[in-house]
Amino acid sequence: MPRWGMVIDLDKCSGCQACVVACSAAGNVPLGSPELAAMGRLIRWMQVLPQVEGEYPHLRAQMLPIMCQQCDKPACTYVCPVAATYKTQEGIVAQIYWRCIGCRYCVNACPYTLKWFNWSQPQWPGATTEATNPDVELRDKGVTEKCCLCHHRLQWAKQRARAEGRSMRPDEYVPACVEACPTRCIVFGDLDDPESEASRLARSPRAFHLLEEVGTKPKVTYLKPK
Amino acid sequence: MLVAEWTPSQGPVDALGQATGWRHWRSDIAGANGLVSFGWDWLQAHPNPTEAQKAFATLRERNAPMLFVGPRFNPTAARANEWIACRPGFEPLVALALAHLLLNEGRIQTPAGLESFAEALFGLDLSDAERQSHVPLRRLREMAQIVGTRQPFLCLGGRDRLQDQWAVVALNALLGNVGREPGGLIPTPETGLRPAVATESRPNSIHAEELPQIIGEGRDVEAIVLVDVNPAFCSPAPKRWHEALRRAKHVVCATSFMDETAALADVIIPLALPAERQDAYRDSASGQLIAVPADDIRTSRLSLTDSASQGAANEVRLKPEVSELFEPVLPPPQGVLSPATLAFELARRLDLPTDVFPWQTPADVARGLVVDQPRVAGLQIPATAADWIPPNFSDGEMHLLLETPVTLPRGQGGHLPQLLTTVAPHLREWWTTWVEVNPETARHLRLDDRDEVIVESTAGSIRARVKIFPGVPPDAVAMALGLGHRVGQFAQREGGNPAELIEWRQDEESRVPLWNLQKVNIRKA
Amino acid sequence: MYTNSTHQRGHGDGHPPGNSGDGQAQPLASPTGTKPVSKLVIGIAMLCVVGVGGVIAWAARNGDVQQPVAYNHKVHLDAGMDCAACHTGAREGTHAGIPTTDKCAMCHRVDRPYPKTPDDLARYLKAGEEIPWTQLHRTRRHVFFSHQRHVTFGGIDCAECHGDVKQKTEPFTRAVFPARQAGMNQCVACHRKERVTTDCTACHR
Repeated sequence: MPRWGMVIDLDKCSGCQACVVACSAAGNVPLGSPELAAMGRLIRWMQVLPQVEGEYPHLRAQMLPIMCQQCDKPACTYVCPVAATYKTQEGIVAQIYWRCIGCRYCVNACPYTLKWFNWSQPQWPGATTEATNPDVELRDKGVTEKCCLCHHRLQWAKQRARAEGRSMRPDEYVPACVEACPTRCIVFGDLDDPESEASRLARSPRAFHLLEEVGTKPKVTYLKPK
Repeated sequence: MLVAEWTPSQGPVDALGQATGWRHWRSDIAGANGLVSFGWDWLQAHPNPTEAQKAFATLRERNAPMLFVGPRFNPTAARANEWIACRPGFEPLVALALAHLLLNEGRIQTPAGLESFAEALFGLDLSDAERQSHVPLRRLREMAQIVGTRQPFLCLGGRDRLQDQWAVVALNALLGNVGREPGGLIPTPETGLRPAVATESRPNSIHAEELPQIIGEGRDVEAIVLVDVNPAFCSPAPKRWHEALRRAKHVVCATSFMDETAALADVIIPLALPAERQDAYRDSASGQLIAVPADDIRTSRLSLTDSASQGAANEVRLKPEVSELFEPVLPPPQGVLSPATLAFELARRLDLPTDVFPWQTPADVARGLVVDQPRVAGLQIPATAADWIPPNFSDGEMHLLLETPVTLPRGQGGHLPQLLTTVAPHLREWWTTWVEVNPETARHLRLDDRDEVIVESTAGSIRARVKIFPGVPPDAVAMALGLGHRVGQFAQREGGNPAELIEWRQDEESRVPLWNLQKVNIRKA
Repeated sequence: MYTNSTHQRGHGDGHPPGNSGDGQAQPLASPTGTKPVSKLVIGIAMLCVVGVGGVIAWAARNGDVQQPVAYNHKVHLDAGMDCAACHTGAREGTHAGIPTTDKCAMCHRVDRPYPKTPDDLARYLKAGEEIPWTQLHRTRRHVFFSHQRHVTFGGIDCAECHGDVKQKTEPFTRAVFPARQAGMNQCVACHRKERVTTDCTACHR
């Protein structure tokens, strides 16, 4: 069984946010509104988190693309009372929107605050419904959502492979952010295959995890800038 | 006739054109062993953002140092190896000082043909440059050490005043970058489209280069064809464009989205694909045309009269009162009429000069009529390029520094929801017009984050929300171009358009509109 | 326009009736004593049962729809046509699909006596209009059901889910699944029996 994970090389990330736009398009992430933005309630599964420190003119910045860290010990799944979020056998932390009762225990439990609750009804005015990704459903008000590693693409890859009578190759499953990144700083693959690029990069001396001390064992690894 | 030309995305076109005679060229960023940009936010403003990010990754993989000289900690500065903070508008002086240092410290030899320039540069006073630009001499020497020890070290700059452009071009020439491959400034074959029929201009027709000035002065234009630009929103003094387009008799607009300019058009030609804008697919690395539009672009037969009422995709929308002017346009024998060619056809019927931009038809391109440009034979850098005169800013207390977000290329797209919320990777401001204020300045003016302020200039005033950001100098504020759209379903509902603050100014020599000489005042609303 | 009415929270119509109403009668004797329950209470309770039953029957009967053309599956299948000839997605696609009028026109020509073209079909063919079939089987947005996976990979015959279509002479007026829609219960029951994945993400995205 593959264990899907990601490595993001912060040295190569240019902060262009192509991943953010690709993710929002592929995941039917609600557009929001200026009012929601002002309240800080815009949902973006993938974001580039800026960390700017210092005083003029001595500044340094770090651009951190973050999304659900796909933990191996996901705190959110331990607290969900209805098993709407759980970890699949392939390591993907999934969110089943129609089971979610909107209690927000998982939103609180996630140490990275990367679970998003729909405080208002997502609006898809006019023709935008036709521009949504048919492989991902549209959520309701009162439901939590998050990055699920584009697992609909995994299902399609498996189905294609099965139709052709062969097994799926790991490089056939490419989440939207990985596909869109122009600098190729996001690498995706099977962490249980020691020869995969993701595994090799995860063993780099520059590798680190966010909030390592919390013990969630995130499957998203970052590489420190050189 | 105005074709897509947005100067903030361009490099030192005019100076390099005068130095080499080239009309088209590109900077081979990915091939360089080092990069220094003088004030040009290339990671965001590059005309091909994908190429820019890919080049960035390549430079990183090779550990090639990237330097940025400029007043503000913009995304290019944030991702650079070194940010050299300098006074707004004085980046070219830093370039000249760097050139002087490189020559004097013997790190580079004067190339043949540039002796008169090098001699004029010898007279540059370094301590004066330090005082004016606010870049310490120590920093300049560090830069010289980095630049002088790696080849090729490419220099980038924007399309500002001609003498600003000369400083960057001269430095490139000294470093041997002009015509160098890989890693330098490389000419690309002259390609484009030309209408099949030559036109005789009417006596009072205007050339495209004069058009911004004419609009800026408030004079009337009778007919105009716009391809993939939105000057009624994103140009200095956009209100003048607004008025001029409203008063013009015939306005044709080829655009992908309904925007402020298209809202004033009589005829809108929908551009569905990016290639339709330039009427060609061009390889971003080599500049070569690699696809003829007739095969690639899914443009259906465009007929002006009978399609108007149906309003189907890829067909032209037409206001009834202008329909008698345009007879049905028949497609050429290969059966496809691309939007830009249609625009030219309409320009021809309106007697607009189309000979300013030499464009070849796809058929010409297919037949191989592509003109190659010579490599540099005689590079001309005048001695006057070393005499740099500081800019003359407009009245005001604070410099207005403009951000050109990568998600809003050419100032467009600010009415598209996903792009509106990814504008500032270093700030996380969403869906509002913000103005970046230095923390010290904010304390002094008693401003807090998200306070509403009025930003005023000699050209106009707009409302914005304060964003305290340490990356702007205390005597400057910064705003992003592309915010403040009013047309569009997801357009912003609060905040103004920073372009309205820029008064109309044009460089005397190159006639390039100048964006970066504006100063403003801010006060609490 | 996306509205709440097209989505039902929970598992909607798949649940057997019994949740929607309370038809339980009061016990005849209260647990704490021997006080008898009044006849009035019993009467009201029985009325509730009848009422609920009536509502359910009404709902079930109103599941029947009127199709615009009296399509006869038996005649076409007896002639040797394959299900996938018209429902083109049945083997390789996600949705099986309803054929467009072009499909009918391939054989039915109004100027020819064979195959016989009934009047209602002829009207649509002459006008060049699409027959406005009422779609009965509609996968909800939150469910991913792939015909390819079931028919081709799983080797399941069309009749197993859609009934004995070969004998059907009338058009479908109601969905073949009980209570109008295949509910999650049926899906999971079969998946368990056939030992196929019951992972949520296999069907819900």
